[in-house]
Amino acid sequence: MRTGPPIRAGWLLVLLALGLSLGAPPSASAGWQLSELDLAVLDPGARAVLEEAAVAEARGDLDRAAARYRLVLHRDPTVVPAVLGLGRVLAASGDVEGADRALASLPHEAEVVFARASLLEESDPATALKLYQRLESLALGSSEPYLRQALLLADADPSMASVKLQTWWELHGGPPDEDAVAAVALGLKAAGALDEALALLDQVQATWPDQEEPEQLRGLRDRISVEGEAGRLAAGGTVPLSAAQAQDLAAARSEFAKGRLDDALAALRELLSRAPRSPELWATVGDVHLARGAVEEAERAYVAATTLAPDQAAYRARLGMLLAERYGGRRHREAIAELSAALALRGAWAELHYRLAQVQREAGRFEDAADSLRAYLALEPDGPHASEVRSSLVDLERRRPTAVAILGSSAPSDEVPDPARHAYRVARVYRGRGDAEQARVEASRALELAPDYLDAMLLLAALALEAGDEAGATALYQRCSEIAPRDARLLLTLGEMHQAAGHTTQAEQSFLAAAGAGAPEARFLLADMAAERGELREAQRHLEAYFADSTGGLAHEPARALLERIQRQLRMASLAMAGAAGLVVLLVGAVVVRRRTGASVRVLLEREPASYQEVARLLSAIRHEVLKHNTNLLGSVADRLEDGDEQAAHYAADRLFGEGGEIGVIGRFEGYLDELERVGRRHGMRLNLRRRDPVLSPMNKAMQRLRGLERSLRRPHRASRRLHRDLRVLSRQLNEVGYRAIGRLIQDVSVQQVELTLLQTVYRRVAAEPAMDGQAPALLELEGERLQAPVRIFRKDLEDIAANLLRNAVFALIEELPAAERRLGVALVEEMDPITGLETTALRFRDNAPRPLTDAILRGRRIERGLGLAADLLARHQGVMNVETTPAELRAGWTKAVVVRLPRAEQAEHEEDET
Amino acid sequence: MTHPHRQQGQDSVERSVRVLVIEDGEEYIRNLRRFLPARFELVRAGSGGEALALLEDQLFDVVFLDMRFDRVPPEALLGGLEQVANRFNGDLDRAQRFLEDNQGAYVLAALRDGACSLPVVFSHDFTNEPRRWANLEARYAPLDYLADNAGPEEVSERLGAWAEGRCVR
Repeated sequence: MRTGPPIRAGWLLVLLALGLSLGAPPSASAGWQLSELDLAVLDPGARAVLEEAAVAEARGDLDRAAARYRLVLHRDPTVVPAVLGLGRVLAASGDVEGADRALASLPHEAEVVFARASLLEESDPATALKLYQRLESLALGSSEPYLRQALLLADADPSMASVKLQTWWELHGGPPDEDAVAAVALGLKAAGALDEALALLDQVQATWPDQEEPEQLRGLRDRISVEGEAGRLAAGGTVPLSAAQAQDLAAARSEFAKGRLDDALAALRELLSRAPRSPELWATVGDVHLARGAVEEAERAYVAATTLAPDQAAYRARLGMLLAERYGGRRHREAIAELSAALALRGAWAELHYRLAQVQREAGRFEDAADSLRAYLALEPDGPHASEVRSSLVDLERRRPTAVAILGSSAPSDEVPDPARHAYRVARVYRGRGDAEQARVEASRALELAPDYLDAMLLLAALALEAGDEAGATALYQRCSEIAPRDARLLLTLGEMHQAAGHTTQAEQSFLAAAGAGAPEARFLLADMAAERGELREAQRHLEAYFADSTGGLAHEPARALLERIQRQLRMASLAMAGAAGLVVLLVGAVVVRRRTGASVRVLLEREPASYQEVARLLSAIRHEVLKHNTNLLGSVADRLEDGDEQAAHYAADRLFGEGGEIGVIGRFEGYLDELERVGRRHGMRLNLRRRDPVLSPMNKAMQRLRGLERSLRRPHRASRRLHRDLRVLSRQLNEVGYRAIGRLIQDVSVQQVELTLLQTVYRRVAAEPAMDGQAPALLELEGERLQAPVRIFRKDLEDIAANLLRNAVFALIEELPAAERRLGVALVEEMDPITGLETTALRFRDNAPRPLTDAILRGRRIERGLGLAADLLARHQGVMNVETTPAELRAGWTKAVVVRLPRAEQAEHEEDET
Repeated sequence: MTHPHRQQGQDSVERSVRVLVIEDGEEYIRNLRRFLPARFELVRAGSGGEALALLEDQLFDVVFLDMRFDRVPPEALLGGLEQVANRFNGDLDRAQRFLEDNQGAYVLAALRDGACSLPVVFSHDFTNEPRRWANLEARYAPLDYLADNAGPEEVSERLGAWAEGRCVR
């Protein structure tokens, strides 16, 4: 048999192997390096293969590495580096069983045994313990096996762990391993051996008096002291608050809620002197201390609360979070223990799983963190942290999943026999190590020994839940609740299970019961559910109840955030409602204003004369296409109906209301109103024709009344005398009053009286222009001065037309004639078309420039001489421009006349309105 | 040209009245046939040309004449499109619109030019064009008009009156 390398060199291998067993993948940079000693004992062939294996392992090619290690072992199964290497790469590949088999092949090689023990610490701690015990002799004098045993036994057998630890530091000789001491001390504390725990810590101080006690150990010592005191306090049992004391507590909480921390603390201290055995009171004192930044006092208070009520997950969670958040990671081990204990009591507390995962991660316990995150996701796949948790899990995915740790425990009742307690503790350790099956076996054994052992039952339920056996877990929790029907933690857990299963009604019932049993965080959970449903008021009520009962805890911060969010949403909802109400008022106001404002057609025509042609066309269309042929039948229809001619009504109805999908005249009337309003908008005015226009508004009302008669007209056999009367009234309103009003509207507007005095004024302005250079004829010869011709044109347009024509004529005269011979004149003439009877007003712009001018020349010169504007303005007002010369004008010495003709605007003598 | 129209004033009591309705659509003829008493015999002409042709062959008591004819083809418009265009600097579109808008007057002129002395009742509101009406009446009497808002009763009354010689303007 070959002898392996010395044990000291082997430790390096073991540590590397341990690193691999924890799942750290091999990499080129951290690859396996064979020592010369390793290689010296091998034959050259095996040596070469072993080197190949090491290189492959360093590259991360685990399959090839395993194959090469196996090849070496095939030639010589006792080659220790090959056995260690094979175990290492198999473990790194996730094949723990294979690695175990490989390492088990050399049961007497210390390095190999150590590697195997390390490998099995997680999966089979009992075997690992035995292996470490064997190493006490195999690696005689080595301290490491003792340390490992101490750590493994810290929870299950802390007294033995303490012994092993002391042996370790006797052999090791160096400073104490802080984490190991803390683990064992915590184990002793958890087992109720507070004196032993303190003795251990004292021994550390005594052994290394020159070293400052690490903060972790100092904190632990303080805590154990407090727990000792609290334990003595609790020996008399917890005493619930009286009604008066509860009122005082509520008052103190109210002070706290208002931010008056000192007042709250003073009140609580006073109350504490009267009710020192109330865990609720201690927890509240802790909250107030924490809010004041007095961490140590807060911790003491929380410890007192957890000691008095060790089965209250909420207190343990508060303590755990304090330890995690206020000591910069130095007391994470304790924090994890407390948070895990809380989770053992309330396995479905999703938020706590998440918080625990954070702490575990910070403590470097990545696999545990991954497990906690998975537990969170299983409970709240759509929870607020779900996205972040999934992302975190990606980083941790290569780590082997283990069950959620349960380390803490409520103190067993006196009725629980010691063997049951022991089995329960072993079960917790197994669970902590990830061996759920063994944990289940031990917990079941504890229950067999003590059928009503609540903690064991809770553990079994948690294990069932983790295994996906929700029905089994529920049954166990139900059984727990039969034993302790008012147990708040059970009710909370049941509620959370129902919630996770989507049974919201049952969840609410459980939470309500839990709240009634004194679990304020149940109020927070109820609030959260109500907020989810959008019932913000109810959520707010729950939160107010929560804050009335609670001053801290894990749910405190989320509850405050939820309350702020709800209050914000409620404020927004109130604002939105106020806004909506305001909007309604505004809209109503706008409608009222809109109905009561807006211009009439007449105002449009007066302010925007350029709209005349469009407006006149539409108003004429109303007269000719709506009234004529249609509404002017209404009176006759009434007569026919009286005579029993129902067909007349059908005939009229089709014309008025349309038939076969065609729009009737009422619709056409409304269409014209719309068009008129669009004309107004194009000219920058809002018209209100339907309600404000004195002409069209009454017509519109009449039309709407007419529309209301459609049914009667379509069914004339049912028509009454009232219909006849209505038809006649409407006929009069539309065909007489409305018709005439429209006519007047068209006629009245934009009529300009043309007088020659106006043209004289224009000419003076033109003649004074600098371009004329004083060359314009001094006299504008006028003819027809006494005439006044009304035309429908805007004064400004008329002035522009005249100015352009006069300017054009003056330029021609200046070009063609000496100043003394230049003549310019304007005649105002009325003309009549004998066929149509239409009259026009002609303005004849005369001059004596010799060069001929024709219509064609005039049109060609329009642009250059600025006559384009005149022509456009004329066309806009239905005017026309020609070059003509009458014999009389020739005789008078004029060579030509540019004639501007505009239709004469007739103005009828208005009849009185018939109303 | 001699027109075989009826002489006014004969058989004044409830005798039948033959009316030549000249319009480019059929609104008048439909409405009048629906609402005028049965004694009115209505014949429609869709254009000035059709009217002149009918008057060559048939007897009528009165002519009921629309003013605006915008639904007849341009070639059916009386008045000469080119000639009218000259007044508008050769603008044919504007000339056509003018002829359409005043076609009733051109038809009336054609009737009178053809020695038709039948009373003509315009369906056009001259209320706001008193000077124009005066010009037309002076030239084309016997002439009357009914505004666009006139109902069938008023039309019946007025046409009957002219046919029976009771109405003289």
